[in-house]
Amino acid sequence: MKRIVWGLISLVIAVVAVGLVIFGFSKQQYQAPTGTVAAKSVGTIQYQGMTRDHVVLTFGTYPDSQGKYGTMLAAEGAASTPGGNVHPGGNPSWPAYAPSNQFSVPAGAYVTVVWHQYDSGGAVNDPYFAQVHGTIGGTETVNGKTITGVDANNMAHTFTVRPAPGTASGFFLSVPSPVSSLGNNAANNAGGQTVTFSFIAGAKGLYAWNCEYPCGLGIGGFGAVMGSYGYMSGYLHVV
Amino acid sequence: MSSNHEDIKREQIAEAVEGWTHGGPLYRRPAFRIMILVVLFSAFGIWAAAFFTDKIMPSILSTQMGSVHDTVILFTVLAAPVSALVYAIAAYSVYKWRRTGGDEPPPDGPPIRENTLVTSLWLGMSVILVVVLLVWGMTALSSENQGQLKPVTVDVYGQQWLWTFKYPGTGVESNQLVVPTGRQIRFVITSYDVTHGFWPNSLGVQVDANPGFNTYITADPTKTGQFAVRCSQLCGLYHAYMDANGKVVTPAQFSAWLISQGASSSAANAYALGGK
Amino acid sequence: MSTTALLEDTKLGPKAGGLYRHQNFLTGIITGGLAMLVGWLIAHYTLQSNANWGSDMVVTVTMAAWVVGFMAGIGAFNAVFRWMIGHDQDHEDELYAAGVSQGWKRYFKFCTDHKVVGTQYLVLVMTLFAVGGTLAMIIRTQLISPNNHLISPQTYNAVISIHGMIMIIATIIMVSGPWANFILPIQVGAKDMAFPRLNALSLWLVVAAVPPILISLFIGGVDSGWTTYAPLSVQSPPGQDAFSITIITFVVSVTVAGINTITTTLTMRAKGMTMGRLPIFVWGSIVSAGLGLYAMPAFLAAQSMLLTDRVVGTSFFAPAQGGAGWLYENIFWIMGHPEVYVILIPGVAAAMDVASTFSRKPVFGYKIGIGAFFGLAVLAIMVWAHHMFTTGWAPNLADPWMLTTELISIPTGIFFLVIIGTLWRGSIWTRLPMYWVYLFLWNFIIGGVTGIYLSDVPADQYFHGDMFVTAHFHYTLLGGAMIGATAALCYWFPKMSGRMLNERIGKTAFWVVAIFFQVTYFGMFWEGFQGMPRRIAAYAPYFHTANVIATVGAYGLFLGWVILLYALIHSWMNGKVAPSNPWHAKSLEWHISSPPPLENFLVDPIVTSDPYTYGEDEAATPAKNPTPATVGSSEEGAH
Ligand SMILES: [Cu+2]
Ligand SMILES: [Cu+2]
Ligand SMILES: [Cu+2]
Repeated sequence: MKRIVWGLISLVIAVVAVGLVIFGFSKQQYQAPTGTVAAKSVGTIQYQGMTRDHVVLTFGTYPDSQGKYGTMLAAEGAASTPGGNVHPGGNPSWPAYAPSNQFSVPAGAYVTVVWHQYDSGGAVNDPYFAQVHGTIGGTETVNGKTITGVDANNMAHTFTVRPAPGTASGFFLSVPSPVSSLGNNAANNAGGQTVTFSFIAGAKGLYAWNCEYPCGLGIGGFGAVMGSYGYMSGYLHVV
Repeated sequence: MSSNHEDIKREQIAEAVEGWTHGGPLYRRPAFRIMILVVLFSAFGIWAAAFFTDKIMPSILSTQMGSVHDTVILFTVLAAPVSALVYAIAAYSVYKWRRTGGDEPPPDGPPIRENTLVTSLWLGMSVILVVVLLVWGMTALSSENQGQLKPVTVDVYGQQWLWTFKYPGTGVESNQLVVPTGRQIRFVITSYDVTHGFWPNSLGVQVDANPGFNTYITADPTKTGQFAVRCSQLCGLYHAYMDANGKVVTPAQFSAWLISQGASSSAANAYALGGK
Repeated sequence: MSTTALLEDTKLGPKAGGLYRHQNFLTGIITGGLAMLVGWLIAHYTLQSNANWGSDMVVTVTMAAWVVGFMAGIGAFNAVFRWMIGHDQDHEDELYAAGVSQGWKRYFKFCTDHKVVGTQYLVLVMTLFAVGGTLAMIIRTQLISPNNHLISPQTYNAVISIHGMIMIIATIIMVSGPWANFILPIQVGAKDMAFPRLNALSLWLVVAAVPPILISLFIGGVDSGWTTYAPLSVQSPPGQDAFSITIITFVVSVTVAGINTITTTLTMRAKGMTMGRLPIFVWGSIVSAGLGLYAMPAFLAAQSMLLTDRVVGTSFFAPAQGGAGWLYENIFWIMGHPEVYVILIPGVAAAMDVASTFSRKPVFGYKIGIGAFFGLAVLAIMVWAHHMFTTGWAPNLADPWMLTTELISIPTGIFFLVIIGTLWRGSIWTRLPMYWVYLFLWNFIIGGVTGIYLSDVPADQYFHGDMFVTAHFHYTLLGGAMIGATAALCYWFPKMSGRMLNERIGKTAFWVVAIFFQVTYFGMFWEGFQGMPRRIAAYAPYFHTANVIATVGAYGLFLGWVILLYALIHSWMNGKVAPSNPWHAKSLEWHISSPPPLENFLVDPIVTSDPYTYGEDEAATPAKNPTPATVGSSEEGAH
């Protein structure tokens, strides 16, 4: 009897081990989690002789993650986003991207981003990030003016995207934003700058985005909000 | 201790040592059997090292990476027999000298407290191995800087969580590391924020990027190919995503690439093809 | 009536112990909690003025208040305080503090009996391993697929950092805590440690140090690994402040414990117990303790400076203000390398003693073995820069650092010589403790050889900071030191608990651990050769196969330890009653009952030889150690 019990236990362990191996290999394909804001489809567009899906992705950056956050949620119709009025990160006085830190776009689509920027800023460590990289035409449009970069000594945030390891792609995108027109008195509801740019989404897979302007606390500005997941960082799911 | 006790002890030790070299046919002597085990274990160890370096490590794109491969093989060849000796004696002790005692202990073994000869041999062997290891490492370290052409300098900037590479004199700035074969590459590395680890994988070199000052490392690419540039020093939130693409190309391809990145052709050629 | 009962049934006066009577673990937690609250209120309303430093100040004050409050609440300062007000403890108070007539409750008190402290340490170590092991399982589960989103990158960094530090704390005390406290005083023939109150202090300081590091997980975590390299750690979330408080407290504990172990061995030995007759385990313990006295204060310095950088803006390590990251790295590794030998040496020494008992032979090369301990300790303080080979610091000094590092293989080689020399032609008695010695040999060789690759500067240019290093030090610290400690656990378990360990379950655990250990770290070596960096939450797909192997292996390894834990608990509760000397070993602890009585020996033992007289004719030697007549409550006396 004892032998049979032990035999069965060994068998169960072996099955679990094999199951884990299969599970480990099967989890290759990554899916966007719930709470992800999907870009809105606005039809198709001709780009370089190819017809592509045209989608629009809207988000904003705010001096704190309380103010406009709820409004943005409503505007985006993203009622299912968990956390309601407060940013999921749980630190309402920190600046954040809204309405979410997780975005999704279709692979190969022509993506137009509309970015409402309300935060203050300062000088960036690496002037490289004051320049636009990887957009269509290498430009962005700020309040209707097309530019290839912003003032490296007075900028707010960047939207910098790279493939996560495991996503085979040479994709790279980095777009800076100018500071709020209210400067250091930035508020959640006034002085906004509208930044628009377009890019062609890369291959299917997971991409990480983060802000490269050190808008956090501590020496170097990379503490707190920059070192914590969810405010100045997140994922772009290309599905 | 009484002399009686000393006598008994000496007898027991003599008896214990005897089986080592005398008595019975060759294949029955412990020394012989243990040596067989040593050879088997060593062969396995060396095979494992060869397998790992050959099949699993990234391909050799520089002399430095070549010396990493060689070091793993050589050190294994040196260490395997010693390790194998320990394994062989341990295995043999279980196989041959095991007593099934149950709750009662088996009779005592021979009281061998020390053996000056064995200890000296063991120590001597360790010292020789250390000297070999040291000479090998020092030779590899001092054999740097053999290139005849002016080295290519690449400025490397680490920052949370991205690498930027600048090719001084050409105005080119990129997220991709491209280096030519046949030239020594001199990396000048620094960081904008915290400590990062600059690790161009298949070039077999690695050095930290520190904020505020430069560190240096040189590599001699020998073969064209692709590799990954990774961050080897935990640098915060997206440390895992701090990868960049690396490429070793021919000098001609290198200058063409620089031009495609916006360098003037004269600057690109001067930089890529170098001079004495 | 046995002598054991005599002492423990002593009726003490109703006032014996004074305040101690009302203090225990629970009052410690309550007082600590209250102190935390007061600390938080004060810090929050008076100090949080500057947005940049405020939260760090609040966390620091709160955590420090917890430590002091907990220690006060459990009674750590009673005796000192009474002495200060001129009302010293009398003999009855001392007996109360030693746990007389308190039954199981003494395990939850500031108890000065070294055997109680040893047992408390054992439970603490196993708890820490359970926490650290669970964190390891979270790490391995996260790494089961390339871009798993089980936990966010921030949580991942916190988990790997806390896993590392909890395991380092646990391994530093895994031998010196339970065994150097419970067994070592008996082995040298002492009635207790030299400083019983410091002994209790060292234990409860570790207990006090644990909550802050666990709390740090919930206040942003630590994002710079257990090494907490600056400047990243200077700008980490407030979890780093709690982490630093943990380290500072822990260092005080290790220092106090080390002084105690050394003093006990030097001054409390029984008559006839010369230094040359000490079991080799005692030598290992005191060398390790001495090395700890050298190493650990550097950790205290590093973390204190880091804490002041964060809290009051000193800038030791902040480059933007003239500080230097390399300063931190140097101070850290001045602690960090000796620390691995603080962990390793007692584990190896225990394995040597176990090998001797179960080969029925003396330890081979006793003197050269001790020499190797000292040699290793001396070398340990001269090799720290090998952790900085790839920092770019002093590349022209690579040669001398490489030399000292490679010299380490000489004393390490002697460890192997001692153990295989002991096995040589022995009568191998295959009981559970001996199994672990064989596993120790197997693992520690692999750990040692892979260490040689890393000592070579050019090869380290590839392997540094990658999973190869992770696999290497797990082979040495877990596969070597911790397996040695497990041998010690199975060896001394009957003495400690008075019960025999169930060998059937124990051997099942052994095989599961032994096999899955190899699977796990084979996977990690594979990752390392492929070039996967350490401490990453996501990885490129071509690392997948190796990671799945490592993860599955890790689950099996965890299962193995759970089985061993089950064997321990099961046997402790209803195992067979252990005789005083189940292994027929010869050191002093086997000549008194299992478990030993308070004050160990009723009559002072007289020692006439070392404990390695196997095979030497009994009749030919004078009285063994100690003669039956001088032994306390031994059931069967010396054989
Ligand atoms: Cu930002
Ligand atoms: Cu990095
Ligand atoms: Cu070290």
